[in-house]
Order: sequence, then structure tokens, then C-alpha cells
Amino acid sequence: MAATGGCGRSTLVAGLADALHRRGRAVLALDLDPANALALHLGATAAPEHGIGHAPDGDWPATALSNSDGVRILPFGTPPLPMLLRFERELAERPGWLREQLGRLAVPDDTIVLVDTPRLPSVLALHAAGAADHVLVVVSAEPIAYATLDRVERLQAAKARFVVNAFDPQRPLQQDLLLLLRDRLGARLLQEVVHRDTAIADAQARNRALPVDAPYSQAAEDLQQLCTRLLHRLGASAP
Amino acid sequence: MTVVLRAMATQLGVADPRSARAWLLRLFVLPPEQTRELPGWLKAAAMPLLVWFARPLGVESPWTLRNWLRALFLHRPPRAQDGDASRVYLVRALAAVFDGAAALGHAALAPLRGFERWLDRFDFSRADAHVMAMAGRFGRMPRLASAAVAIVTITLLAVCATTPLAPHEQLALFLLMWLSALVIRRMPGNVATLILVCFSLAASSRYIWWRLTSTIDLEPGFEWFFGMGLIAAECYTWLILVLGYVQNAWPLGRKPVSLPADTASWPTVDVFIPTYNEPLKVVRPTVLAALGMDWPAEKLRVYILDDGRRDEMRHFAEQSGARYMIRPDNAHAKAGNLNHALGKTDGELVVIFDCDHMPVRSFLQTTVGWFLKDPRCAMLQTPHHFFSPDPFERNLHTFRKIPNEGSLFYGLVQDGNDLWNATFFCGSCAVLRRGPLMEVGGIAVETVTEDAHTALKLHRRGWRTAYLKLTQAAGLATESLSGHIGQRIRWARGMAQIFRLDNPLFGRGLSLLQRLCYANAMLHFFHGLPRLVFLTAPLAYLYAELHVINAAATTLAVYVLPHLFQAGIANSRMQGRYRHSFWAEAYESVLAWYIAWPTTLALINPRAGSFNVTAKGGLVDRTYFDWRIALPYVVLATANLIGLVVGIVRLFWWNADEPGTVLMNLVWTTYNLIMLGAALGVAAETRQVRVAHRVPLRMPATLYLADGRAIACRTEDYSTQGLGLLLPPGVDVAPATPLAVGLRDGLREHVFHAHAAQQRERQLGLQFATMDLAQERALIACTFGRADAWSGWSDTTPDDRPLTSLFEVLGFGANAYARVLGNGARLLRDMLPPLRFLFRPAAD
Repeated sequence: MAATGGCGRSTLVAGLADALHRRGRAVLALDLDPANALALHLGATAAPEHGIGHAPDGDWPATALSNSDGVRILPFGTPPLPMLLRFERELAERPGWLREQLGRLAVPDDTIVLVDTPRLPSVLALHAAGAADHVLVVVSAEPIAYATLDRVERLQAAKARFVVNAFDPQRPLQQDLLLLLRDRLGARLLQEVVHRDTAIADAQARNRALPVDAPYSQAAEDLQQLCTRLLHRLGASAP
Repeated sequence: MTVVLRAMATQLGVADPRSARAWLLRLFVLPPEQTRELPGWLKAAAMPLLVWFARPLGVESPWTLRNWLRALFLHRPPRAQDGDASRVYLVRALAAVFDGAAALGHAALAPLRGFERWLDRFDFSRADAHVMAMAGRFGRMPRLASAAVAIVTITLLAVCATTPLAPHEQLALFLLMWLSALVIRRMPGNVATLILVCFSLAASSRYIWWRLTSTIDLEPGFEWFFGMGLIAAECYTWLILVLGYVQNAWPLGRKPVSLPADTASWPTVDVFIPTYNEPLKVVRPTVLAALGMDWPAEKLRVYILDDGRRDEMRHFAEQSGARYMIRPDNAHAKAGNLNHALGKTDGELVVIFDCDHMPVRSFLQTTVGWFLKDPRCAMLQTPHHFFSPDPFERNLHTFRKIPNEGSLFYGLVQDGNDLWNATFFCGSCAVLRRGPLMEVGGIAVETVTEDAHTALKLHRRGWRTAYLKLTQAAGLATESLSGHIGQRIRWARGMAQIFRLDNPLFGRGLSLLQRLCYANAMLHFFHGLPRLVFLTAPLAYLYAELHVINAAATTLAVYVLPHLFQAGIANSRMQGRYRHSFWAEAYESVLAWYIAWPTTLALINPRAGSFNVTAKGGLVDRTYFDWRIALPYVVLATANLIGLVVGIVRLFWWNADEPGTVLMNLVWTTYNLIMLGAALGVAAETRQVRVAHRVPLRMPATLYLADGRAIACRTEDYSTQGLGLLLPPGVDVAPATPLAVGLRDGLREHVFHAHAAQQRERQLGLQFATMDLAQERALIACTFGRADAWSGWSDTTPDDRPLTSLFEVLGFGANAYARVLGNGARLLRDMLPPLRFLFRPAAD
């Protein structure tokens, strides 16, 4: 999750889902963001129409997609606005909703469910944080991200880990902000950073997964390291 | 006629009777169906030999005569790259001879290898554990008892050394010791080394005792004179051998002590960087690296002590945060400069770096612990490490392949000294405690090796010193051979001065073993004269038939061979990691001529002579042969070569009645020629290509291209000017493209702007753009200042294998002679234009 928009949340979720899948882990990417972009990041040529957003208790497996590499996605879909508003209202009164739904999905124990959330503050994001075992907050090394950090900190202080995305070490401002973030977050900020790298956009344009399109890009390398770190945190060794 | 011819053609198998060529072929070569196989044994013997010779000669495929002819007379072998054609042939011929000799030696040693293989089946580590336990018990014995054991051992050794034996008994003793040594060598650990040392002590002492008591001709005359000279040189060598064994018996292997967690208890540190005429670009990285050391900022002060009084240096100091200090005069050079600074500062510890020795960031945290743990510790020295090749390494191409001249001293000698509390200060990369230093009057100024003398003074007052064998700083080696020799002359002179002015064998305050260690450190530099004696001794017989050793050659052999073998085995075992066999002789041979006179002079009049600073940071900009430096060796080599020729004549015609003596002197003079060859090889200066020396380092890096792509790659090497990267496949960077590269210093990534210099396959060379001070500081932190910058540096040098080592020295010698001849030929050619046709230039 994130407190600012455009910091590369969906990109990161898609990249991690892909990386974990390539390591032989069972992965399910869940898009809780009405922007409905996760499927696009994972290779869909058009945003899927149907998805979670149409009905809180709908039949999720029916809307599931799977990309050419075999990564499974549950898209949010594009519900009409009244439907979306109703959906969100309903969820505000059912704190255990997401957990119940995941239970109903009967996801196997070894499957890693990655949930993409809307930017905070958001009901959907709160649900995701409540249901998740681990929360990864994506921040960019920009002043606005630093200024809105307390929004996230208030939400999930213990569970949350932070990762800097789209880092550009050529800019002194970003270097300084990274130092500030380290200072403020301490060990909660992961050592790994994901670099700004146009290889990500290039791969998207070619509709190919990043490790296939640019295996030696720094972003692909960073995602690998981040993936290793997350698996370590999940307490999981080799599958 | 036709019928006869046809019949003959059928008989001989000539395919076409009308072709003269077919007739010629068949007259000499059998048709395929009539050829017989070579006997199996001949084939088996010939094949490996052919292959063996083919490689060094550059024969592409050894199975056709044409290839051989082409390789021998037309084509250059791939190894020889430059120089005259004459040289190439010579190298080729010599290489063939040496390889042949090596093959013969290899075959002759086959039974021995069988024995060694048999020994391989046993596990000797248990024996070592057993002996180590015994050694441990010895260590716990009361002082008196251990002294008694020492006295008994020395007495036994003396009895061993002085008991007269008949030559055949001496031979039996030698064989017994040698075979035992082969077994003991298998045992790991230092106890086995000590046993081998005892063998060597016995064999070498027997030899020297026999020489002193049975081989001296007391009748005055030339033989007596030369004989005395030789025996004096041999006694010196024996003394140095014994002292060396004492000094290096048990390297202490000191480990760093960690500092307390509370930084308030850490001492204040003054870092002194004295400079006189070194350019700013040499001093800059050192100062930045010193400022980047991990230490509380308020407790670290870095001083540039500028005896050159330069404005640019002052300006740089102001910018960088270092302090700048000058003094009214330049009295006593570096020692005086440091003493002046000592008077103006008050840090509890003083750290001294030569202006081209860049410390790594962990220098202080690694070294200072000992000063807190041991309040009597006055000085801690760390190794001097050089990341550029010294003249020996550059000219012989042995950089990082063979341990260099300094590695014995910093790898073993100082560590050995440490056991006896006799480690001495080496002028740089050391920490001193201010109190004791002021107590002895600061840095000593009486001699030109102020460092060792200061340590001696500290030891006399009962202070302790320490040596930490962890490379925590690195610098540039002296560039040219003349500079290198100049530096060694200064050390030799200084040590000789201390020996005269403040002799460590006498005076107050030192333990016996400290005296011995210091004595060895100083006497060691007197090797010049004895080495020259050894290099000329066989000539006395070969030229003038003077018997300088009054003994039969066979008797001499049964005494001298055990001495040489056992000393070789013991030394290879003891110092093999830091100096390969035969290289000591090679290094000494180079220096012998030049330090013989200064040491002698300093011994006679310690206050005479002047002091010169060694120049650093320059560049040998062309390949040339330093005739000025090499002249003594050319003369010595010529003399030995003539001796060799005379000797061969003597062997067959003039002295056919004493072939043993002639042979012995021939072997000796050949050995001398090899060592002199190595010395000549060093004198042939090789051109340096790079302006800034590149240091190999592999770490992840990121390459930022102008189009926004970031490429994960890794570094290959770095220098202050540029960086070598290994790119992933498929990345091409056009020359002169501006780009940026990210290097990591811990969690921090620093980005440096650069442009592509050249790309060769996946290797990309980068040239840094102009940097500001902050970036320069960051670059030092990412490269030279890394705590692990120099760890594992010496892992690339292979272990010592004495025979291989001998052949290496031999190879360098052969190459050098070829070069000397080539250069001589060129000189002749230039002087005698009419004879130019004799020196038809090579194909290129």
C-alpha cells in the first residue's frame, strides 16, 4: 500500500508476483484498487471488465485471469460508479470481509496472496491491511512521500515494512530523502531499494515480463533481491 | 629401356613413370602400403618429447616437419612479442634447452615422487596434534626448566655440528636427514617447521665448522686471501641464517582487539601526513581517506605537514577539513617535520602515513584496541602494501604471481619479531602513543632510518611494540629501479648507522632476543659484500686456478649439499608463502653492488653521506634498458660467462686431472649466471601503460545510461581516474558516451559521472568526469577506503615449489640475456652503419 499515488505500487506488486512465480511459488495477485491496473501490469492488453468490484460476495474464481506465464490474477473490474460506491459502503460495515472471502476461496497454504490496494486513506486498503500477514508500504524518495508518512505509520505500525521505489541516486534530493527515511524508519525500511529504470516501461510497452525483456536491468535485479528478502520474512525457504 | 624403367617403377611403386617428381618421392619415401609402424617404445618416447618441445617453440601441430621448420626459422612463437629477431631465436633456443633440462630432471625424480605418493597415504595431522600438545607442556614449564631445555638443545646441536665424520658417514647422515625431512615436511604446523629448522641448523653448522677447521690454507698468498674472503662471506651467511631462524621461529599472529562500546573512552588521534615535494594529486586521496576513517569526528585530527610550503596544499587542506602545518626550517627532513608537529599537537595517539599511503576506513578501529588493552604498548605497526608493481614485479612481470621483496618482511619477519617484542616502526601505517614517544625525544634524528631507531629507543626504555598483519593501508610502489635501489640504499645506510651509533647488541634495556632480532635486521643489510664474493668466488679457480677452498670437491659436496638442501627445505617451509625459493638470492644479487659500498662507508663513518627522498607517482614512459644501473651486472655476468667457457676448456684439456673441482666451479658459476640474469632482467625497464594504477575489485555496480535505463553490472578494477566494468551480454556503449555509474559504500549508493573510454566485448572502461571534493571523497570511500579493499590480496600468489621457482628464475635470466644481447646488438648496429646488413630487422 502507499500514501501517495504514482509511486509504483501496482508495478511493484506485478513485479513481485512475477518474480515469486518464476521462483516456483504459488502466487495469487489480488487487485483491490478500483483503478484496476494490476492486470495491465501483468500482461493484459485491455483492462478486464469483470472482477471483485462487482459484488462483495460474488463468485471470484469466475473472474480470475491467468497470464501467459501462468501468474493468476483476480482483477478489480470496472463496476459502474453507483455499484462501486455501494460496494465501498457495504465494506465499511463488514470489517472481516476480506478475510472471509479469502477463506471462501480456499487458497492452499503455500500460496502467496499479493494484494494491491488503493492509496491511503481507503476502506479497501484498511481491509487489506487487516487481512494481511505482512504489509509492504511503497514510498518514493520525494518530499511529499516523506510528508505523508505518518498517515501510514498510524495505520499499521508493527506489521508494516517500507520499501523505496523508483529511486534515482543521481538526484541529490533523493539521496538526502533516503537518508531521512532511514533515519526515521530505522529497521522498518528495507535495505533493498528499487531503482528508477526505464526498462520497466519498455517491458510494459513490449508486453513482456521484465526479467524476460531486460534480464540485466537494475530494476529486475532489485526485484529479485526484494523477492529474496520477502521470502525470508515469510519464513519460507525453498519450495 | 622403357621396360626396365617400367619394371623399376612397379617395384618402387612410382605412380607415374614420366614424372620426375614421382621418382624422387619414391626414391626416398616408401609408398603407403609398404610403410611400417614405428616401434612402440620409440613412438611412446618420441610423442611426449615432440609435444613438450612444440609448445614453447610455437609449433602449431607437431606432426609435420614443415610446421617445425616454419616455427624454428620463419614464425615467431606466440610468447615473444617485441625486440629484435636475434633475441627471438635466442629465447627460443634457450627455452628449448631449459625445457629439455626440465624434462630430464622430471624423469630423474620419478622414484622420489613415488615415495612422496606413498607418503601421501598417511595422515600426519595426528602426529602434529601430539607434538603440539608436547610443545604446550613445554610452554607451561617454569622459566628455569625451559632455560635448561634450551641449553641442553644448544649443547646437543653444538655436539652435532662439531663431531668429525668420514665423508661416507657424512653422506649417510645427509641422506638420513633428507629422507626424514621429506616425511616431516608432511606434518602441518609450526613444530614440524622447527624440526626442519633444527635439521638445517645441524647441517649448516656442520658445514661451517668443517670449513673453519679443515679447509683453510694457512699459507699466506693469493689463495689464502681469497679463501679468507670466501670463508668470511660464508660465516656471515651462516650467522644470518641462524639469526633468521631465531627471528622467525614462531610468528605471533596477533589479532585485533575490539574497542569498548562507549566512544567516550576512545583516545584522541592526531594523523600526520608529512610531505615534501610530492604532487597534490598524490597527497589528496591519502588525506581524504584519512579523513574518512571511522572515528568520532571530535577525536580525529588530520594534519598535512608540508615541508614544501605550497599554497595549493594549504588551499586543499582548508577545503577538505584537514589541518595544514608548516615549519620555519627543513632540518632533519621527515623526522624533523614530525617532531615539529608533535610539539604543536596533543592527541593521545599519533598515526603516521606517508603521503601516498591511503588508509582504509577501519584503520583506527582495527589498531587502537591494543593501546587500550596494553597500557605499555607504545607502537603498533601494520603492513606496507603496494597496489602498483615495484620495478622487480614490473620488469619481470611477476606482479601478484610471485611474492614481492617486501612481502617476506611484512608477512613473516615483523610477525616473528612480534613474538620477541621486537617489532619495529617502519615510518608509515603505524600508531604511536604520544607519551613514550616524547619520553624518547620524539622521532630519532641521528640516523636516516629514523623509524627503526625510534623503535629501538622505545624498546630500550621497556615499552612494548606490536605488529598487526592486517593490511589497513595501501600505496604506490617506487616507480623506477633507480628509485627503488635508492630507497634500499637509504635503509641499508641507516641500519648500518644505527649499528654503529646505537648498537642493539650493547647498551641498556633490551632482552637477549630483542638484541638478536635487531642485530639481524641490521646485519641483514650487509649482504652486499658477501653476495659479491659469492658471485666472483668461482672465478678465482676458473681464471687463475686458485684453490680458495682447500678440500677435495667430493668432500666439499658431502658437506655443502646437506647445508644447501636443509636450509632450502627449512626456508621454503618457513617463508614459502612470503618468498619463493631462490628469489632471495635474485633480489640480493640486484642490490648487492649498490648497497655494498654505502653500508661499508656508513660502518666506517656513520655521519658521512647525504639523504635523498625517493620520488613517487612518476611513470616509466618507454621501454628501455637501464645500462647505467645494469653495468655492474653486465660486467659480472661477462666475467662469469668467460669463466664458464674457460672452465669447459679446463674440464677437457687443461685440468682434466681434477674434473671434480672444475665441475663444482662450473656449477657455481652457472648458478651465478642465473642470478645475474635475473638482476639484468630487472634492469630492463618495461614501459608503463596506465597513468593511474588499476586495482582489481569485484563488486556490484549500476550503470546509468542517458536513455534512463539502469544496468546491473559489476566492477572489474578501479583507479583514481576510472573504472573497469563487466557488462551483461548485449549491452553496447559507444565510446565517449556520457553516463553515470553507481557504486555502493555500505547502504549508501554514490553516483559518479563518467564517459565511456573503450569497450572490449563485455568489458567497459570508464573515465571519470571532473569531480568536486565531495565526490572525490565518496569515490575514496567506495574504493581505496573500503575496509575489505586489500583483504585476500595475496591469495593469488601460488605456494612455493622450489624446483618450479628455480626454473622461473632461470627463465627470467635467459630472457634477460637475450634482451641484453638484443640491446647490445642494437647499440652496435647504431654505431656501425656499414654493418647494418648483419642486423636485418625483424618482420615488423
